[in-house]
Amino acid sequence: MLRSQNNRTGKVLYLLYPGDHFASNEDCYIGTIAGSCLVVCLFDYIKKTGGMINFVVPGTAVTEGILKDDIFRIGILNMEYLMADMVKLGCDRHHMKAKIFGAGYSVNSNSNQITSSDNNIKFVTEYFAFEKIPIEKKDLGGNFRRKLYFSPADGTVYRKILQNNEDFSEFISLEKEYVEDEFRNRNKTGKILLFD
Amino acid sequence: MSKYIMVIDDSPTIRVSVELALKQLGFMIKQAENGQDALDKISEIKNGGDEVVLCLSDINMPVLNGIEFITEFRKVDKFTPVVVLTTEAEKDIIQKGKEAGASGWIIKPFQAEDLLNVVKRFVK
Repeated sequence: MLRSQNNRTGKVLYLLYPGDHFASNEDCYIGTIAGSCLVVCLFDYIKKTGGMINFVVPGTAVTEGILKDDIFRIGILNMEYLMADMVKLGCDRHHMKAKIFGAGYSVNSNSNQITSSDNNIKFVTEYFAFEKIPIEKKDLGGNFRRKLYFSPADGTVYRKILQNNEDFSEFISLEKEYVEDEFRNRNKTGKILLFD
Repeated sequence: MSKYIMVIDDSPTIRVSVELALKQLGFMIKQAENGQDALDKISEIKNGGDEVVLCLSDINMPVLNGIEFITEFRKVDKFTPVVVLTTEAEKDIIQKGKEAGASGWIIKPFQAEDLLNVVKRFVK
Protein backbone atom coordinates (compact mmCIF):
# COMPACT_ATOMS: atom_id res chain seq x y z
CA MET A 1 0.00 0.00 0.00
CA LEU A 2 1.22 3.48 -0.83
CA ARG A 3 0.24 6.58 1.17
CA SER A 4 0.19 9.76 -0.90
CA GLN A 5 -0.23 13.22 0.61
CA ASN A 6 0.23 15.28 -2.53
CA ASN A 7 -2.23 14.24 -5.20
CA ARG A 8 -4.99 15.92 -7.19
CA THR A 9 -7.80 14.71 -4.89
CA GLY A 10 -6.65 17.21 -2.24
CA LYS A 11 -6.89 14.52 0.43
CA VAL A 12 -4.59 11.77 1.66
CA LEU A 13 -4.80 8.83 -0.76
CA TYR A 14 -4.07 5.25 0.26
CA LEU A 15 -3.32 3.31 -2.91
CA LEU A 16 -3.92 -0.40 -2.56
CA TYR A 17 -2.01 -2.96 -4.60
CA PRO A 18 -3.46 -6.40 -5.35
CA GLY A 19 -3.66 -8.35 -2.09
CA ASP A 20 -3.85 -5.21 0.10
CA HIS A 21 -6.64 -4.27 2.51
CA PHE A 22 -7.19 -1.11 4.54
CA ALA A 23 -9.91 0.62 6.57
CA SER A 24 -10.18 4.19 7.82
CA ASN A 25 -12.53 6.62 9.52
CA GLU A 26 -10.62 9.65 8.20
CA ASP A 27 -11.61 12.05 5.45
CA CYS A 28 -9.34 10.46 2.86
CA TYR A 29 -9.52 8.31 -0.26
CA ILE A 30 -8.63 4.66 -0.70
CA GLY A 31 -7.82 3.90 -4.32
CA THR A 32 -6.96 0.91 -6.48
CA ILE A 33 -7.36 -0.61 -9.91
CA ALA A 34 -9.71 -3.56 -10.26
CA GLY A 35 -8.52 -5.85 -13.02
CA SER A 36 -9.10 -9.57 -12.81
CA CYS A 37 -9.19 -9.30 -9.00
CA LEU A 38 -12.22 -8.45 -6.88
CA VAL A 39 -12.41 -5.12 -5.10
CA VAL A 40 -14.79 -4.91 -2.14
CA CYS A 41 -15.65 -1.61 -0.46
CA LEU A 42 -17.42 -1.90 2.89
CA PHE A 43 -19.07 1.03 4.65
CA ASP A 44 -20.41 1.09 8.22
CA TYR A 45 -23.12 3.75 8.07
CA ILE A 46 -23.28 4.15 11.87
CA LYS A 47 -19.54 4.56 12.45
CA LYS A 48 -19.00 6.41 9.13
CA THR A 49 -16.03 4.15 8.52
CA GLY A 50 -15.06 2.29 5.38
CA GLY A 51 -12.58 -0.25 4.13
CA MET A 52 -11.39 -1.72 0.86
CA ILE A 53 -9.72 -4.96 -0.23
CA ASN A 54 -8.29 -6.04 -3.56
CA PHE A 55 -8.02 -9.84 -3.79
CA VAL A 56 -8.58 -12.96 -5.88
CA VAL A 57 -10.21 -16.32 -5.20
CA PRO A 58 -7.52 -18.51 -6.75
CA GLY A 59 -9.22 -21.36 -8.53
CA THR A 60 -12.44 -22.88 -9.68
CA ALA A 61 -15.07 -23.90 -7.19
CA VAL A 62 -16.96 -27.11 -7.64
CA THR A 63 -20.64 -27.07 -6.90
CA GLU A 64 -20.69 -27.34 -3.12
CA GLY A 65 -21.18 -23.64 -2.41
CA ILE A 66 -19.56 -21.22 -0.03
CA LEU A 67 -19.70 -23.37 3.12
CA LYS A 68 -18.11 -26.52 1.75
CA ASP A 69 -16.08 -25.56 -1.28
CA ASP A 70 -12.41 -25.58 -0.35
CA ILE A 71 -11.38 -22.84 -2.75
CA PHE A 72 -13.90 -20.36 -1.32
CA ARG A 73 -12.05 -20.72 2.00
CA ILE A 74 -9.43 -18.32 0.56
CA GLY A 75 -12.11 -15.79 -0.37
CA ILE A 76 -13.63 -15.98 3.12
CA LEU A 77 -10.16 -15.53 4.64
CA ASN A 78 -9.58 -12.37 2.61
CA MET A 79 -12.93 -10.96 3.68
CA GLU A 80 -11.97 -11.75 7.29
CA TYR A 81 -8.85 -9.57 6.90
CA LEU A 82 -10.97 -6.61 5.83
CA MET A 83 -13.63 -7.29 8.47
CA ALA A 84 -10.89 -7.36 11.14
CA ASP A 85 -9.61 -3.94 9.96
CA MET A 86 -13.16 -2.58 10.24
CA VAL A 87 -14.02 -4.17 13.62
CA LYS A 88 -10.80 -2.74 15.10
CA LEU A 89 -12.21 0.71 14.24
CA GLY A 90 -15.44 -0.09 16.08
CA CYS A 91 -17.53 -1.33 13.12
CA ASP A 92 -20.20 -4.00 13.24
CA ARG A 93 -21.18 -6.10 10.21
CA HIS A 94 -24.86 -5.55 11.06
CA HIS A 95 -24.36 -1.91 9.97
CA MET A 96 -22.40 -2.54 6.80
CA LYS A 97 -23.19 -2.12 3.13
CA ALA A 98 -21.00 -3.39 0.29
CA LYS A 99 -19.99 -2.15 -3.13
CA ILE A 100 -18.21 -4.71 -5.29
CA PHE A 101 -16.15 -4.30 -8.46
CA GLY A 102 -13.77 -6.10 -10.77
CA ALA A 103 -13.36 -9.77 -11.68
CA GLY A 104 -12.85 -8.59 -15.23
CA TYR A 105 -10.81 -10.30 -17.92
CA SER A 106 -8.69 -8.83 -20.64
CA VAL A 107 -9.30 -9.34 -24.35
CA ASN A 108 -6.30 -11.70 -24.34
CA SER A 109 -7.67 -13.89 -21.54
CA ASN A 110 -7.80 -17.62 -22.00
CA SER A 111 -10.77 -19.75 -20.97
CA ASN A 112 -9.20 -20.44 -17.53
CA GLN A 113 -9.09 -16.73 -16.73
CA ILE A 114 -12.70 -16.28 -17.80
CA THR A 115 -13.69 -19.24 -15.56
CA SER A 116 -11.73 -17.63 -12.72
CA SER A 117 -13.61 -14.38 -13.26
CA ASP A 118 -16.97 -16.21 -13.11
CA ASN A 119 -15.78 -18.00 -10.01
CA ASN A 120 -14.84 -14.77 -8.24
CA ILE A 121 -18.26 -13.31 -9.06
CA LYS A 122 -19.95 -16.45 -7.71
CA PHE A 123 -17.93 -16.23 -4.49
CA VAL A 124 -18.57 -12.59 -3.71
CA THR A 125 -22.29 -12.85 -4.45
CA GLU A 126 -22.73 -15.95 -2.26
CA TYR A 127 -20.60 -14.49 0.52
CA PHE A 128 -22.63 -11.32 0.96
CA ALA A 129 -25.93 -13.23 0.69
CA PHE A 130 -24.79 -15.54 3.51
CA GLU A 131 -23.49 -12.67 5.64
CA LYS A 132 -26.77 -10.78 5.04
CA ILE A 133 -24.77 -7.67 4.11
CA PRO A 134 -26.61 -5.74 1.39
CA ILE A 135 -24.77 -5.13 -1.88
CA GLU A 136 -25.47 -1.52 -2.76
CA LYS A 137 -23.53 -1.49 -6.02
CA LYS A 138 -22.27 -4.35 -8.18
CA ASP A 139 -20.05 -3.75 -11.22
CA LEU A 140 -18.40 -7.03 -12.16
CA GLY A 141 -16.97 -8.85 -15.20
CA GLY A 142 -16.35 -7.34 -18.61
CA ASN A 143 -13.11 -7.11 -20.55
CA PHE A 144 -11.76 -3.92 -19.00
CA ARG A 145 -10.19 -2.58 -15.82
CA ARG A 146 -11.70 -0.12 -13.36
CA LYS A 147 -9.92 2.68 -11.52
CA LEU A 148 -11.62 3.20 -8.15
CA TYR A 149 -11.53 5.87 -5.45
CA PHE A 150 -13.44 5.14 -2.25
CA SER A 151 -14.27 7.75 0.38
CA PRO A 152 -14.40 5.76 3.65
CA ALA A 153 -16.02 8.64 5.56
CA ASP A 154 -19.22 8.60 3.47
CA GLY A 155 -19.11 5.38 1.43
CA THR A 156 -18.96 7.04 -2.00
CA VAL A 157 -17.08 5.23 -4.77
CA TYR A 158 -15.82 7.01 -7.89
CA ARG A 159 -15.19 4.68 -10.82
CA LYS A 160 -13.48 5.15 -14.17
CA ILE A 161 -13.38 2.49 -16.87
CA LEU A 162 -9.85 2.01 -18.24
CA GLN A 163 -9.63 1.00 -21.87
CA ASN A 164 -5.93 1.60 -22.35
CA ASN A 165 -3.84 -0.97 -20.49
CA GLU A 166 -0.52 0.59 -21.57
CA ASP A 167 -0.80 3.40 -19.00
CA PHE A 168 -1.17 0.93 -16.16
CA SER A 169 1.35 -1.72 -17.19
CA GLU A 170 3.15 -1.61 -13.81
CA PHE A 171 -0.08 -2.27 -11.93
CA ILE A 172 -1.01 -5.06 -14.37
CA SER A 173 2.37 -6.74 -13.76
CA LEU A 174 1.85 -6.54 -9.99
CA GLU A 175 -1.61 -8.03 -10.34
CA LYS A 176 -0.32 -10.88 -12.48
CA GLU A 177 2.43 -11.61 -9.94
CA TYR A 178 -0.05 -11.52 -7.03
CA VAL A 179 -2.58 -13.81 -8.78
CA GLU A 180 0.15 -16.34 -9.66
CA ASP A 181 1.37 -16.32 -6.03
CA GLU A 182 -2.16 -16.89 -4.75
CA PHE A 183 -2.66 -19.85 -7.11
CA ARG A 184 0.70 -21.30 -6.03
CA ASN A 185 0.00 -20.89 -2.30
CA ARG A 186 -3.68 -21.69 -2.21
CA ASN A 187 -3.25 -24.81 -0.07
CA LYS A 188 -1.20 -22.98 2.56
CA THR A 189 -2.57 -23.11 6.10
CA GLY A 190 -1.85 -21.05 9.22
CA LYS A 191 0.01 -22.09 12.37
CA ILE A 192 -1.56 -23.99 15.24
CA LEU A 193 -0.28 -23.17 18.74
CA LEU A 194 -1.31 -25.16 21.80
CA PHE A 195 -0.60 -23.58 25.19
CA ASP A 196 -1.27 -26.46 27.56
CA MET B 1 -26.79 -33.90 30.40
CA SER B 2 -25.84 -32.51 26.97
CA LYS B 3 -22.28 -31.46 26.11
CA TYR B 4 -21.87 -28.28 24.07
CA ILE B 5 -19.13 -26.73 21.97
CA MET B 6 -19.47 -22.93 21.67
CA VAL B 7 -18.60 -21.39 18.28
CA ILE B 8 -18.06 -17.65 18.75
CA ASP B 9 -17.57 -15.50 15.66
CA ASP B 10 -19.29 -12.42 14.24
CA SER B 11 -19.31 -13.99 10.76
CA PRO B 12 -22.24 -16.36 10.10
CA THR B 13 -20.20 -17.91 7.27
CA ILE B 14 -17.43 -18.88 9.69
CA ARG B 15 -19.85 -20.05 12.41
CA VAL B 16 -21.76 -22.36 10.08
CA SER B 17 -18.56 -23.65 8.37
CA VAL B 18 -17.06 -24.55 11.77
CA GLU B 19 -20.32 -26.15 12.90
CA LEU B 20 -20.40 -28.30 9.74
CA ALA B 21 -16.78 -29.36 10.31
CA LEU B 22 -17.48 -30.38 13.93
CA LYS B 23 -20.80 -32.14 13.28
CA GLN B 24 -19.23 -35.60 13.09
CA LEU B 25 -17.95 -35.39 16.69
CA GLY B 26 -21.45 -35.75 18.08
CA PHE B 27 -21.47 -32.72 20.40
CA MET B 28 -24.22 -30.12 20.54
CA ILE B 29 -23.05 -26.87 18.92
CA LYS B 30 -24.13 -23.42 20.08
CA GLN B 31 -23.30 -20.37 18.00
CA ALA B 32 -22.64 -16.88 19.42
CA GLU B 33 -21.92 -13.72 17.44
CA ASN B 34 -19.66 -11.97 19.96
CA GLY B 35 -18.13 -12.46 23.40
CA GLN B 36 -21.10 -11.09 25.34
CA ASP B 37 -23.54 -13.25 23.38
CA ALA B 38 -21.31 -16.23 24.23
CA LEU B 39 -21.22 -15.45 27.97
CA ASP B 40 -25.05 -15.17 27.99
CA LYS B 41 -25.50 -18.47 26.13
CA ILE B 42 -22.93 -20.30 28.28
CA SER B 43 -24.81 -19.13 31.36
CA GLU B 44 -28.12 -20.42 29.88
CA ILE B 45 -26.53 -23.80 29.06
CA LYS B 46 -25.10 -24.19 32.57
CA ASN B 47 -28.34 -23.05 34.23
CA GLY B 48 -30.17 -25.69 32.19
CA GLY B 49 -27.95 -28.37 33.77
CA ASP B 50 -25.85 -28.94 30.64
CA GLU B 51 -22.10 -28.61 30.12
CA VAL B 52 -19.84 -26.55 27.85
CA VAL B 53 -16.79 -28.67 26.98
CA LEU B 54 -14.97 -26.27 24.64
CA CYS B 55 -15.15 -22.72 23.28
CA LEU B 56 -13.85 -21.82 19.82
CA SER B 57 -13.57 -18.05 19.60
CA ASP B 58 -12.61 -15.38 17.08
CA ILE B 59 -10.66 -12.32 18.31
CA ASN B 60 -11.95 -9.33 16.32
CA MET B 61 -15.64 -9.03 17.21
CA PRO B 62 -17.86 -6.09 18.17
CA VAL B 63 -19.43 -5.65 21.66
CA LEU B 64 -16.97 -7.95 23.48
CA ASN B 65 -13.91 -9.14 21.56
CA GLY B 66 -12.13 -12.47 21.92
CA ILE B 67 -9.51 -11.38 24.49
CA GLU B 68 -12.22 -9.66 26.58
CA PHE B 69 -14.39 -12.76 26.32
CA ILE B 70 -11.62 -15.07 27.55
CA THR B 71 -10.82 -12.68 30.42
CA GLU B 72 -14.48 -12.57 31.54
CA PHE B 73 -15.01 -16.30 31.00
CA ARG B 74 -11.95 -17.18 33.11
CA LYS B 75 -13.47 -15.27 36.06
CA VAL B 76 -16.22 -17.89 36.23
CA ASP B 77 -14.59 -20.92 34.60
CA LYS B 78 -10.90 -21.70 34.99
CA PHE B 79 -10.84 -25.06 33.25
CA THR B 80 -13.02 -25.28 30.11
CA PRO B 81 -10.60 -24.93 27.16
CA VAL B 82 -10.88 -21.89 24.89
CA VAL B 83 -9.24 -22.20 21.48
CA VAL B 84 -8.90 -19.05 19.39
CA LEU B 85 -9.64 -19.18 15.64
CA THR B 86 -8.38 -15.98 14.04
CA THR B 87 -6.49 -14.20 11.27
CA GLU B 88 -4.38 -12.49 13.97
CA ALA B 89 -0.81 -13.75 13.87
CA GLU B 90 0.97 -10.96 15.79
CA LYS B 91 3.06 -12.24 18.70
CA ASP B 92 1.78 -9.51 21.07
CA ILE B 93 -1.87 -10.43 20.53
CA ILE B 94 -1.15 -14.15 20.85
CA GLN B 95 0.68 -13.42 24.13
CA LYS B 96 -2.32 -11.39 25.39
CA GLY B 97 -4.61 -14.31 24.53
CA LYS B 98 -2.36 -16.74 26.34
CA GLU B 99 -2.20 -14.50 29.42
CA ALA B 100 -6.00 -14.10 29.38
CA GLY B 101 -6.32 -17.89 29.53
CA ALA B 102 -6.56 -19.21 25.96
CA SER B 103 -5.70 -22.88 25.58
CA GLY B 104 -4.73 -22.75 21.91
CA TRP B 105 -4.46 -20.45 18.91
CA ILE B 106 -5.32 -21.47 15.33
CA ILE B 107 -4.34 -18.97 12.65
CA LYS B 108 -6.67 -18.98 9.64
CA PRO B 109 -6.77 -20.48 7.07
CA PHE B 110 -7.06 -23.97 8.46
CA GLN B 111 -8.15 -27.33 7.08
CA ALA B 112 -11.23 -28.91 8.67
CA GLU B 113 -9.12 -31.96 9.54
CA ASP B 114 -6.63 -29.85 11.53
CA LEU B 115 -9.47 -28.20 13.44
CA LEU B 116 -10.96 -31.61 14.24
CA ASN B 117 -7.61 -32.87 15.54
CA VAL B 118 -7.23 -29.86 17.86
CA VAL B 119 -10.82 -30.18 19.13
CA LYS B 120 -10.41 -33.92 19.75
CA ARG B 121 -7.28 -33.22 21.77
CA PHE B 122 -9.19 -30.95 24.15
CA VAL B 123 -12.45 -32.89 24.46
CA LYS B 124 -11.12 -36.47 24.58
